[in-house]
Amino acid sequence: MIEIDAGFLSKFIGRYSLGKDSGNDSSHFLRIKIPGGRLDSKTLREIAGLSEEFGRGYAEITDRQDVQLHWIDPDMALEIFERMYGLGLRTDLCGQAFRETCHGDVRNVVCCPLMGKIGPDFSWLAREINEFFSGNPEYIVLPHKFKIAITACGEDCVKIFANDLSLVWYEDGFVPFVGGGMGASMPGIRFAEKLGIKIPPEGTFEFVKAVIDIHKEFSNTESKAKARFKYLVHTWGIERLRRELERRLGRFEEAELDTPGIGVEHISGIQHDGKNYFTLPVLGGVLDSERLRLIASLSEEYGGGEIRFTTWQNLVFVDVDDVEGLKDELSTYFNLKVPYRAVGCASDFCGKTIVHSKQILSSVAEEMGDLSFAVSGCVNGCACHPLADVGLVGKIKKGKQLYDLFVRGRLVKKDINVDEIPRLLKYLEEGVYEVKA
Amino acid sequence: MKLKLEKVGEKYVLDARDLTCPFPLAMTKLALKEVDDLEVIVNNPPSARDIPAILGKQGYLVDVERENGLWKIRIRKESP
Repeated sequence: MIEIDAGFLSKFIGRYSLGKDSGNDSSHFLRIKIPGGRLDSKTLREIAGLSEEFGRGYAEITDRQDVQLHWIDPDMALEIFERMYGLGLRTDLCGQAFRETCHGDVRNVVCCPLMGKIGPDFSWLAREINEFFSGNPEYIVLPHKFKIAITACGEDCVKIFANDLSLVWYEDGFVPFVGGGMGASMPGIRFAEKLGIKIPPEGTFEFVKAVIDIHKEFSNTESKAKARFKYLVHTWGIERLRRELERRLGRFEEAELDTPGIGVEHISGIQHDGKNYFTLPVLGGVLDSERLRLIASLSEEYGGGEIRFTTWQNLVFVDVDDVEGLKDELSTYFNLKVPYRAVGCASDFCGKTIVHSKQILSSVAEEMGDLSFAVSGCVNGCACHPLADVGLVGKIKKGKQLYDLFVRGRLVKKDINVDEIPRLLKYLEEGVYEVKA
Repeated sequence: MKLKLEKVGEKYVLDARDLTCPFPLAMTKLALKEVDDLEVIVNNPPSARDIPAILGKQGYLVDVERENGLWKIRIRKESP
């Protein structure tokens, strides 16, 4: 037996990983967690530097408010992790490549991007959850990944129905929604349901922990297809889950909340303090290191140097005095007319498509008008296509790229050829599928 | 943290199961500073893809055997 000192790896293992790419000449991606989607201009510049040095200058905002880089050389990963460690940044643990269960972690906690600006600020809760669960040895071996969203603006800007646990602020507490998931794993596409209770803010962290403990203890560990929390909620039902939570935490206050409308993006407006916010639309979330630096500089020049990402792959400038000046400067470098609610997954890198999600998005998004649009490259549903007014999900049959069409969560047409997609959208405008903006 | 290399016959064995990328690769490289004949056991498909590809390019002799959901990657330094 030989023993080798590998102590320097200890601070990285369980906190950092690379994900698997299989397309576009990339073999690994790096998904940088941005809790609540909030970061400062200095950190954004550092991320731009990582993108430039290690990721061919490419960077993408994900629909979980992360930043994702590609073309990462695994031989350089420890150097990247060291830089991230110094910045207090962590990654998702990309354990989805394992064929077994129990490689799941708590993913980036998404928040309303305007917390504290147009509603109460619970970003502390996102940070507390992130601090406790990221890299915690007890919680990086969950049956499968676990996704959390928090919103306090009264609208669904965080894709409430797609998360394992969404916390929706209502009057003086959080109303939890549970068991959402847009991928094909069992029981298939499932919209998160209300638990019918309300949690006071001071008890929310313990509530979140109890839900995740239940996932850890009771979700299926034999089959990866059944290991998501949505399958447990589906098989148990809401009442049994609520009873188990009450057994651990005591009785909850009953609460009825009208189900929020699906799929909002905050575009521009006035904050509580009279300053303004403005959201830059970024089609498919695709950026580069140069524009990340520009965004950092403009956030300092026009606001307080803070940037917030959205679940529609856009970014928000907050605390802005001169919105028109900001828009003028941005218009030199960005197309401000691209739609705000248009999401495409990273299928150009994962290798599951021939005609990629972002290609489809770019080719038709500007024709979508006020309709929201999401393109997932495969049944894993990474773009949450069932939550959009118009959703497409890709498949390859006999070497040919096809897409299925969803309208507001309902499958309306299967096996569409790529060249038919513009025509289908024309049908939608004409009301063939009864979609109204 | 200590890496343990167990001697089994001619080779040393490094168990890198349940580790995400890039740690099986990083540990393999550390181990190869100490031994010339190594078998790495992984269950992470990207690591099973990367380790043979990267070390093969660096001149090591690499053989991969798949067994019950695991990959056993035998890595030897080429004779001079």
